[in-house]
Amino acid sequence: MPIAHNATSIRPDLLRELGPAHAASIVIGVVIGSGIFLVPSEMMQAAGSARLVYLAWIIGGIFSFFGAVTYAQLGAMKPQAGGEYVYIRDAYGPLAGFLCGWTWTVVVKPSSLAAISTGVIRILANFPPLAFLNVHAISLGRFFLTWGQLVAIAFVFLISAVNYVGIRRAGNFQLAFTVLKLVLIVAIAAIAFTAPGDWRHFAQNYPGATGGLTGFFAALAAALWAYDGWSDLNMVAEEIRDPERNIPLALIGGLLVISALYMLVNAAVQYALAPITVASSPSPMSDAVRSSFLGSGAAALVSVAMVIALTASLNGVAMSGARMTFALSRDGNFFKVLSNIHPRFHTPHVAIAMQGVLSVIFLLIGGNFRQLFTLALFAEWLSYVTASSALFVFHSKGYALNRQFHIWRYPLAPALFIVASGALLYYTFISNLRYSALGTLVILAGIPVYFAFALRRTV
Amino acid sequence: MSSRKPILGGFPFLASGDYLSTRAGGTFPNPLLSNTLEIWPSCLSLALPLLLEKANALE
Repeated sequence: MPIAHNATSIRPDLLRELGPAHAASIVIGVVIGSGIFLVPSEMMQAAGSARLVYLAWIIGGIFSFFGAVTYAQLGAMKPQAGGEYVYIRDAYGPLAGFLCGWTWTVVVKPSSLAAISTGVIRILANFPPLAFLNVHAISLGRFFLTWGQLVAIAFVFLISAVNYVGIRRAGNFQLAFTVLKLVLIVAIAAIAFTAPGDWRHFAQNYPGATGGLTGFFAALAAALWAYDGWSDLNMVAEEIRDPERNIPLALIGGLLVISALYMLVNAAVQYALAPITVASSPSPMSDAVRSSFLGSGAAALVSVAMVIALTASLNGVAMSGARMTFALSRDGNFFKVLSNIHPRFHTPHVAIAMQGVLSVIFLLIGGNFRQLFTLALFAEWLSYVTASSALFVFHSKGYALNRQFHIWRYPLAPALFIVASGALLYYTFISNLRYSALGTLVILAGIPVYFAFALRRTV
Repeated sequence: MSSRKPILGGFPFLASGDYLSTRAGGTFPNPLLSNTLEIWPSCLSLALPLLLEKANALE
């Protein structure tokens, strides 16, 4: 028997103002960051040939597609703010849901925002007139701040402000930057194809690669990381019009566009550069376009595209992260003030502001958020595995599946996605034992916080 | 019998913490982008092309 949703947990104050184009732009905008231009070298170093790199992209894309189908079902089933938090809460109880929401609120989203905004600054600092971004702006003994850190902080505040003033405005910003990003990526790939390349590169090997099954799985892990981020859409499900239709459409359609772009960029790089050059290049796409008809100036276009791509990613991450905090607080599991909705803008404005402040704190800490990012990645994939497994729980409880988008027969899609993300989780944990263990501790640190808020509710 | 080694060996790039494949690629290692701010396409350059044969010729 289907279980009715808890009607009291749905607040009408968030407005359903995002259409299918906005939703797709969140999927594409968040997933494609700067990695698209850098990852070909990492994958070539691991797999060792263009054919294996392509196989990794195809298999990574298929696994991500299974994930998108799973999340399409979950999103259509429970179109509420909070995504994974909601699914884990309703499948495994409030404590499990809280631990997910807590980790995303205090670590995953703020550290992602800090990492992405720092990425923007590092790319901008490579332009000679902006080299001052690496210079100290404030120096107080051992404590110092660079101009880059100050600009990154301003950037986080700007994006938070865009999200503060309305979901429609933030959605339009997301759509505009995603379209710009797509145009630039296609243009750059087209420019790379004008380089004096060779189709025979696709049949050549890179002899220094890790190779073997380990190398291939490393390339596959890189591809899965590159596809990561589409699940952010489910966190804003409460503000999407006709979610039963638009969430599946945006997830599946968005992922198909992303896969096509990744293949296109890879093809352009591999056409322009020999495998050995791809593997040794710190920025393969910049090197690919440098030998095109536009010359070395085209490399600057790649950097501009990276900044645009990161801006769309930053906006999507900020938009989705605040909804997770909001959902957690609306249930009384965190500070109630974080569930406040702005009377005019209809946004979770306090949650947006708090997320921005946490990101700024991470930016002020400086280079230490590499560890935070490791921790965030581990926590992210743990959430994907747990949230996807919730679909089995809902099915066993009698929830109806969305047949309209039931492309792959249940339970194939969620099972395969859980296997792939479980394997990636395992290798992330093993390869970064220290910080992944620290990540587990951060997650578990939420237990006393949960009971502290539970106690407050009963008093 | 158990082993602490992962089944398929270690993934060095996962341990390196460079995260080039993530959307935050380029944040942790130095991206080393050499951006030349010239907007004039090199194919339209009025300068004479550098002849490699001449450039490499011994004095």
